[in-house]
Amino acid sequence: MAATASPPLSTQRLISFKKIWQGLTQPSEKVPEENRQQVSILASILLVFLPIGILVSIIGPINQIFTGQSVQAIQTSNWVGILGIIVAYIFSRTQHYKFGAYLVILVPIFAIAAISFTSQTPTLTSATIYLTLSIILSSLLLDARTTVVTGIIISVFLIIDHTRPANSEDRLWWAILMFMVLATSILAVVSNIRDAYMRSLETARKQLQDQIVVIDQARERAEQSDQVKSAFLASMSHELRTPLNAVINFTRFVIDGDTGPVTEQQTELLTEVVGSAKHLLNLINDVLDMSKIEAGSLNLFIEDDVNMTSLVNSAVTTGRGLLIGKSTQLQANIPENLPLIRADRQRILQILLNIISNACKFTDEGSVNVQVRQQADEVLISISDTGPGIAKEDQAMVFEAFKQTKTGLRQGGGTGLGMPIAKNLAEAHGGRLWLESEQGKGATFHVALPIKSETLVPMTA
Amino acid sequence: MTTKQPAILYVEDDPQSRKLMSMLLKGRMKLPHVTILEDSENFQAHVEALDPKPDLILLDIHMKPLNGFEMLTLLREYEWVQNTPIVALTASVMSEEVQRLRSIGFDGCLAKPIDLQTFPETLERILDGEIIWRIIS
Repeated sequence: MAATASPPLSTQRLISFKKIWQGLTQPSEKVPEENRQQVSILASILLVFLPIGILVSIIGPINQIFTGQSVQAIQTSNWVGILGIIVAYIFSRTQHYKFGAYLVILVPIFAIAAISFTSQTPTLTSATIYLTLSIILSSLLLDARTTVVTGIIISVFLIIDHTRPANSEDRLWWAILMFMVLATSILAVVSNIRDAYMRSLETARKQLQDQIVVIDQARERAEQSDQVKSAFLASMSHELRTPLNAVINFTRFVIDGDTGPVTEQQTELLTEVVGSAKHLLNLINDVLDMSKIEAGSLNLFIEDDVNMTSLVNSAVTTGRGLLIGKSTQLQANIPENLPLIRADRQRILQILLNIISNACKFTDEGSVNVQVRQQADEVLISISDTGPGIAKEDQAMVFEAFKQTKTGLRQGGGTGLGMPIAKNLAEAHGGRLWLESEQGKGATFHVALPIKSETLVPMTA
Repeated sequence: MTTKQPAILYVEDDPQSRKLMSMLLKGRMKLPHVTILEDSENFQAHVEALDPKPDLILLDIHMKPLNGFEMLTLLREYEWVQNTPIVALTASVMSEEVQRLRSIGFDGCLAKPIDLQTFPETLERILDGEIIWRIIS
């Protein structure tokens, strides 16, 4: 049922305890935007009526003087009213706002009916005031049609009540008639609510269907663009690696003397060519890895029997190669009985190489120390160096893509992607990578990898 | 399967890669039985004519008319190929592609650019039955 816009009524004017009041009348978050004002009006009305109702019930005898009705009937109808108000208020605090509104409209009618059925005199002058309230509330809280229906029901009810005879035998039939009118109107309200729910359900279903179509289209587009991107990355990798293969290796043939003698200077220059080409290759690898990580399309080739001892050994061997010509020592403490872990062999090696080669690059004297140990259900690899260290404020930057610290930039080379890639790869394995360092006191990088991560599924080649 | 002078079949459409491998296998390693095919046209006829039969087959993947996967499927039908390592030698080494190579039954993958220094040793290891997935180089 589409609620028509209600006259704007400021709830804030009613009371000075603005904040408390707002808290008590603010509708639940599930109430749709267009109904929010009505719901807070409903809550406000209920909150105003509650103390009045309680007050009236306490000083019921005064009411008796005013209306001439028996105290018992007034009291009962008052408590019914209070109960109704509380229930309606609870409804108004939840998304069942409409139930609350119906209840508020129905409660006065019920209360009057209760008085009418038990009273001796047919006239209910004061009832007219209460019933008019129902119509006003209806217009405030619900739509125009409901207001008209409420008005008609109340009018019929009053006409019957007003015209019923004093004769007690006939009164029974009039009472039944009144009951019928009320029962019919209640049923009408119930079926109205049901229809409204069915309609809103149908609307919601249609909206959902439209949404699904929109989402489907968006997903298709995203998938297409993902495929295009993946295909582009794959072919870029292929197209760049093919000529680099020629550049690096033909140059090497010349350096190695396969084509005849070369002078020292030629060797030196050609070695620069190879070095630069290899640097370019690393750049390509890193950029491709980073874009895969950022696109969330990093696929791990998981195996169940990755031997950490041999992986760390192989990374250490590469690291030692990098230290040739430096006084820095690379020490490794690798136990032989490390468990086999579930991981992507190549990617773990990449993590280790990134950290170890970084440590070797930045440490001009002293040592680089590689420690590996099993700790609970993880393998912990710690690589510490006696290099320049990383200032506290720069530590987060180390793991950010395309950023390098001042020291990193001064040292030159590198893409600044190695550490972010390593961290992402460790996390993709369900592991962690972090660093401890103080400026001037070296740095320690820790990698913790789960031995048998449940989230990783081994591939069967 | 170690042979002192293994026969090698290499199929590659990129002329520079062919030249490079020729310099390496024939020139530097001085292997007498190296066959390098420049496309996969009449692939079966070429393979059947090989004598001696290769101890190792290196295939490029992006080729015409048959790509590396199709050549692999054809090769696997020969009895004598059953125990011959077939290794992809490709510049397409993104993990998805390597996974495809594995799932389709390649016995390893060597990434371009190759490492000249370690290549002879790597070949020996492959001939000894080791499966190598050199994805990053």
